[in-house]
Amino acid sequence: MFQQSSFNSFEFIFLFLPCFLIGFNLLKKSSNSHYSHYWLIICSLFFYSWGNLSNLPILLSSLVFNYIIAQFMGPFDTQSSLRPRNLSRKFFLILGIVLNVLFLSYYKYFSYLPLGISFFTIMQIMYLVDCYEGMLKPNTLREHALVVSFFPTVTMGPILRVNNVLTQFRETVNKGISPEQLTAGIALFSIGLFKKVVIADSFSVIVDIGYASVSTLSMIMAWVISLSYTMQLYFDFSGYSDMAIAIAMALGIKIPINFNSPYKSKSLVEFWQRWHISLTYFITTYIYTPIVRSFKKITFSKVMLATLIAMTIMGVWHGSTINFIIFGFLHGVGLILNHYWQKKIKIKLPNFLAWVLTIIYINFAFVFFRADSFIDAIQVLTSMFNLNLLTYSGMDQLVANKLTVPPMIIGILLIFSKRNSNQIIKEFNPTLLNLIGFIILTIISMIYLNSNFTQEYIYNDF
Amino acid sequence: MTSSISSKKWLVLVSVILVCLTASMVTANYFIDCYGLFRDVEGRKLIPQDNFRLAKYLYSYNYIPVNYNGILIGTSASMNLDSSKIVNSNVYNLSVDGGNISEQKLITDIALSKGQFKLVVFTNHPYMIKDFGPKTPYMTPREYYGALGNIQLLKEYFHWAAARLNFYHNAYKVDENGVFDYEYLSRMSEFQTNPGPFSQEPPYKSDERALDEYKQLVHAARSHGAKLVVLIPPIYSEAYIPHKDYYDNYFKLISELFLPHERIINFNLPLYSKYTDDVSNFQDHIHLSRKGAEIFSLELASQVESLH
Repeated sequence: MFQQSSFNSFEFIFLFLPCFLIGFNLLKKSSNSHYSHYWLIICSLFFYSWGNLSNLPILLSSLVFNYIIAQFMGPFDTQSSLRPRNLSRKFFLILGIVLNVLFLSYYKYFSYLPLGISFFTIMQIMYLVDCYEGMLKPNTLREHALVVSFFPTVTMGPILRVNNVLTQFRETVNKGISPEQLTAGIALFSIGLFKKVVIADSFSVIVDIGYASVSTLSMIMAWVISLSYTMQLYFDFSGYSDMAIAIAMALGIKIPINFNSPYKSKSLVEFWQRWHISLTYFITTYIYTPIVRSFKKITFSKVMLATLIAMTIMGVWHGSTINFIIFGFLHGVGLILNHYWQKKIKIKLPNFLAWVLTIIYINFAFVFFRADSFIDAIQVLTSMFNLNLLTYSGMDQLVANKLTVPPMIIGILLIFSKRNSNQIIKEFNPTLLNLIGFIILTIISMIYLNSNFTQEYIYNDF
Repeated sequence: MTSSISSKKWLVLVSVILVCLTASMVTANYFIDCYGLFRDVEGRKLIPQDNFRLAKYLYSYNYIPVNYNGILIGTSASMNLDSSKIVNSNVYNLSVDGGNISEQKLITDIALSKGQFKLVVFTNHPYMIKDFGPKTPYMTPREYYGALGNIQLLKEYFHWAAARLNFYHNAYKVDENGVFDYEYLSRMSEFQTNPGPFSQEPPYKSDERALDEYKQLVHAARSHGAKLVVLIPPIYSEAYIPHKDYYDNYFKLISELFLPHERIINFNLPLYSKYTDDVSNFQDHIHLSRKGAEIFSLELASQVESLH
């Protein structure tokens, strides 16, 4: 019955989530308000180990290790009773970071990939750095487990700053779930579910067929499948992020948005401000900035070098294959060109042209992200520009899978819609009209969910 | 419609309407029971409309075990053989277009576990064991409850409506016995006007795992108590002759899986050459035309009936 933990399953939506919410709400009203936190931790660990219990010790060991390191480091302004006097706070910070990176690298590159390891590891690196910088005091084990294992975000983010979430848990400890929070949460969850199971999974049908036979792609199909993957990735990941934000919202916890209409960007710099925002924050604050600070004298070329290094590390974070490294490197190069254009050439491109160039560049980079090998990626990119392959061959796949076409069209329209899911929910006001819209979305999503159509989340592999 | 309502009211309305709509949808699909899974199916005539693989897979749970006492398994080479011509048994044609032994085993294992069959006809073409594993994601137990409302079901309804509106212009029809009566006219006319040239390369290489599944299926059918018949489908003689050794070796390999008393019907023997030499009996070198299907269906029926 239980497959890997996932928001887009009937078991999660109709069994796990209602049981969790009812228990959480009841316990919040109890005399000991911490009971609700224990309940959340238990449910989070259950969710995380759902379908694969062997992941649990990995999460627990990481969680306990980072808790201990923070305890040794102690608060910024006082000496930790645990820390030997001859060892500095910096020593424990470096030890923590190095061991976290080794831990992540071992599982990511030399062993099987435990669910969410990339996310909860960098979240805890951020936690250790924040502790070191004195931005928060080391957590209690309960609080640390509460935030790190928090089930809406543990598997695929958004990557949280511990302090932000913990403060909210403390502030809302005695408040039950309000109907307003629940309404907005349910509405956002239904949008996220629709984005994932209807739109992203429809794009995936064509993408999977195309990438399974890259050597026979026509020029048109090469463009169709590469752009389809660009769309699939966005709807897949942003759908998940919406659902994660929605569940947290229902609990009264505000977690940062992860996507903000990234395909409306008119430059690569803007794209990274709108795409996987929590990762961009991590890369900027915890990788790029320290690299820049390490330079004795800051010049334009040194800053660009830092950008290239940071983006290549971002690629490596996704995976160790050459394709991910190229993906990160391409974005680094793209950002350098972008900055160079803005700061040195200073010619403003027409909006439409800027948008087209940005989308095409992003699309190229995603070919490396999706292709099974470097050779396959080159094959797709070559087919995209080979005028000899300007035929309609392969278009029959679209005809054969015609039921996937309407959701794909809806997806394309949504990219250009005035408001994205975050903006819709920000202004959400319960009315009969949005009630009807919500019901239609949910019924369609349920029909898709009950089909053998649904795919795992792409970012489950990272 | 656009005026605000309280969050509590919104939540209650959403819950009530969603439950009612879902229940109505599930109830409607339960009563329509497209695949004969949930209600009494005896005497019903179910016809696949869209995804024949999925339909035959789901029919094997209830529709076939209740209404048939024989099954014919195979690939596209046998999917237009009219199993209803066998009058002393009620045989369902489980052949699947492009199907391999893994898919046939998935379907047949369910049918054998749910019903009582006295006849299993194994159609035997090298295509059947050239690869291993299901070719689509549809043959999974998840589809059972999918039949209460999912995309495949929606497609089944669309195709049902399209067929009623004659959108397919009689290009094909499927009957309640699983027989896929079809002729692809342009391909057939091209082949019949100019058959060949035929490749000199052996058509398919056998997969060991697929052969193993074939053995398991034969064993399961025999243990079930069914009478086993092997049918070697006709191949257009000009395509057969260059590869006679290859085909004969293959048929020998498969025939060894069967016991001496189990009947092997080989339509490529010289006895049938007047049919296999006649290009008008074929749409291509292996797929029978309507005329060919009629001839070989009758021949199959007479051979099977002679067993009794």
